[in-house]
Amino acid sequence: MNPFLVWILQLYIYFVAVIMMVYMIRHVIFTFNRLNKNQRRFYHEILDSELPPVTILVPMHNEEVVAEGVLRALIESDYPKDLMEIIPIDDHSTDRTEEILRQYGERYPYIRPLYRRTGMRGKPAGLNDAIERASHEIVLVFDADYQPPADMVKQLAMAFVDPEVGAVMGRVVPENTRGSLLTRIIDLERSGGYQVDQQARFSLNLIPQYGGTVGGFRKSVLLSIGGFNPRILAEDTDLTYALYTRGWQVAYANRAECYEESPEDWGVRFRQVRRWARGHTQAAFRHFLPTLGSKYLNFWQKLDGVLLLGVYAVPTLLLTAILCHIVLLLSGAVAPFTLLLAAAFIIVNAYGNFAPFFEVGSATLLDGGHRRLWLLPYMAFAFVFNVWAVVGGLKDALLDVAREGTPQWEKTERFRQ
Amino acid sequence: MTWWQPTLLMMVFFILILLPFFPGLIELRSPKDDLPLRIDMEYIRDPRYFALAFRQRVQENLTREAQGGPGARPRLQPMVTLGPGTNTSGTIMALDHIEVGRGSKLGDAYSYGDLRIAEQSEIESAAADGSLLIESDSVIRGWIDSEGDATVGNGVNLGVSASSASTLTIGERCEFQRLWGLPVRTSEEPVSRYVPDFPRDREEIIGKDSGVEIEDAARWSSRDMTIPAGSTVGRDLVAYGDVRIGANSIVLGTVKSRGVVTLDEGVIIEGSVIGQRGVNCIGNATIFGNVFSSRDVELGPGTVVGRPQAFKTVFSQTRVLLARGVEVFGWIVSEEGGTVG
Repeated sequence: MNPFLVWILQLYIYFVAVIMMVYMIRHVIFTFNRLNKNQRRFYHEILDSELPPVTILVPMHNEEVVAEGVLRALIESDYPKDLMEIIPIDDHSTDRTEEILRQYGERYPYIRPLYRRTGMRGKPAGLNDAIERASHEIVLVFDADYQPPADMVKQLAMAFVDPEVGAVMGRVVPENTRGSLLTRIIDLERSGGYQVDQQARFSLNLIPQYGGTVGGFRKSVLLSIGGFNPRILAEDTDLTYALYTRGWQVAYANRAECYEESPEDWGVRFRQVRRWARGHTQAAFRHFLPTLGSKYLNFWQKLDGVLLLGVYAVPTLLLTAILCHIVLLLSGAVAPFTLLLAAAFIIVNAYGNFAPFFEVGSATLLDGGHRRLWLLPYMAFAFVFNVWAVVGGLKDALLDVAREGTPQWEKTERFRQ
Repeated sequence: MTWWQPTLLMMVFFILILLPFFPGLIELRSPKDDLPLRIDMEYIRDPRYFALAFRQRVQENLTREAQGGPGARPRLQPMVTLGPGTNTSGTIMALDHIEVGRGSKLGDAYSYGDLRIAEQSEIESAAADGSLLIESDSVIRGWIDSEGDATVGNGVNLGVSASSASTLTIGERCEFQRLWGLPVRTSEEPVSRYVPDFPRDREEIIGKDSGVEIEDAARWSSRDMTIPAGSTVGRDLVAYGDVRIGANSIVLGTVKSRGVVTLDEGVIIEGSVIGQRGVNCIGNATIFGNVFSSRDVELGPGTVVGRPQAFKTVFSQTRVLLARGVEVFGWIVSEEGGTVG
């Protein structure tokens, strides 16, 4: 084998191993901070009799199964109804969604449904149309399968007392944990992702992420950046970075907990993760350099921002490193690297999932879980599964760049009975 | 090497590989921890939660005992008077008045009328539907609450929560964690400066010779900054360093700093004050919004937060230090304990 090629492959393997180590250290820091340090408080600690008026958007496409649930939950909110406007967005639905929204719209004057029958389909396009109709500066978003508790709107709206906050994000909690092994693994992943990962990033003044639902933003800020880009499937990641690189911040509300419905089918989950990976990678292409060059971000925020943007590239890097290793093995030039790659692989599998095992375990303990911790090893299966979905998403994102087309939005299937 | 040695090694290898999955298999076959994380869908934060829950519980018990309908007033003595040095752990209740003598030790006390606890007493919790008086150097282990005015003498430890639906007046050297009142006051006389008259011209800074350099709208300064005395700031002010607002300045918005915010004498803030590393009001400041900090909050003499028509919050993740003559309409939270200086 060409010695230069061997050297390049060896170098690549070293590079991937270093990347793995950096991600692992990042997660160790997050977990240590969450477990041992005083956590930064969110603005829900504030009680204020002068609440800001809010517009709540609920994007829906064929959501007859869940539409009433989210609307009822919002109606039962303790937020003053004269300060609240709800815009459910019926996005080209072909089921009973429109009928349900009409009933609620007629009954409650503050529910003003938007029926989209023309134009591009998809959440970013739907949100853009609804934002034009939004009467208020503070806009909150809930997906149709979410059930916000009574004080949720108040908690999220209070974040905007801080003039630096451009967006706010609450915590997502899976409700259908009893559905299957998949839902239980998703429950663990969500726990790690929010209880430790998001909270630590908020506490450490890094880059907590706006997640597109159970959250909100300032209408004027969104309009100033041209609204959501309908060509980017991860409109939440896109907004997060657009905000940070312009001097705004995202506040994370760990106690603003809201139930969601997790996919109960591996195929549905595969498509969901693939869509996330595709959208996230699109956002990474768009924001990588602006993040590094932003005058509003300090060194650690830039580092965290870049690592967060690259998180969906890690499985692909790992997969290609393994392939490089096989090539080296077959060429007989493998000896110095076997241990290194094996170590990297073990690190990723044992500790370095999207939300690593120790991070998930710590989060589950903080949440008061006990026997569900026994399922942690099963996350290894989810990791292998996610790797394939993410590699597919990366491929999709690269094709999006090549074709310069607009990706088709794919809705996540609902399972509620 | 015989045939069984590699076989044994392989078996051990696979057992060790599969071992971590066995406990999970038990949980999957016989689930005991598979419920979703509990979210109280009806939870609404209430600063008087302890007292209201206590009253509700008492009312339920009494109506059950009296076999009366909901809302029935129990058959209680109109007045209970406990002499000095009384030591009891039960719940003391009266229809009109409770009087607790000096140096007593009590459990819970609930009066449908007024309640007075003399100096150097120790009590678990006290609720009064009328007025409440806690005399000096007493210790509250739990909470106190009143529908009418509540007055607390000097050197009282107010426990977890002290609240009043009306005015809560607290004396010097008092220690607290949470205070709620409309208003909470650290002097007997009200601060008569609720709605001062000030210009509301929306300009960046009045006075071109102010010398303040603004980097951009999103971030006024990446370093420390000082607003000169007598300025008017026409919008929200955000800085990454410490911020000092000069005496008698007016900010027609919110002040946010990632460092310490210092308000000199007589400053008026129309919005909130957020200082991640601390907030220090020298004195006679008027803040119409909230005060929020991850570190200490010091409110100097004559500081007013909120106004009679609007309750607000003063929150510190560490300590709140209140000077004499402070008035806060709403809630004060000091996670590591606050004091009145």
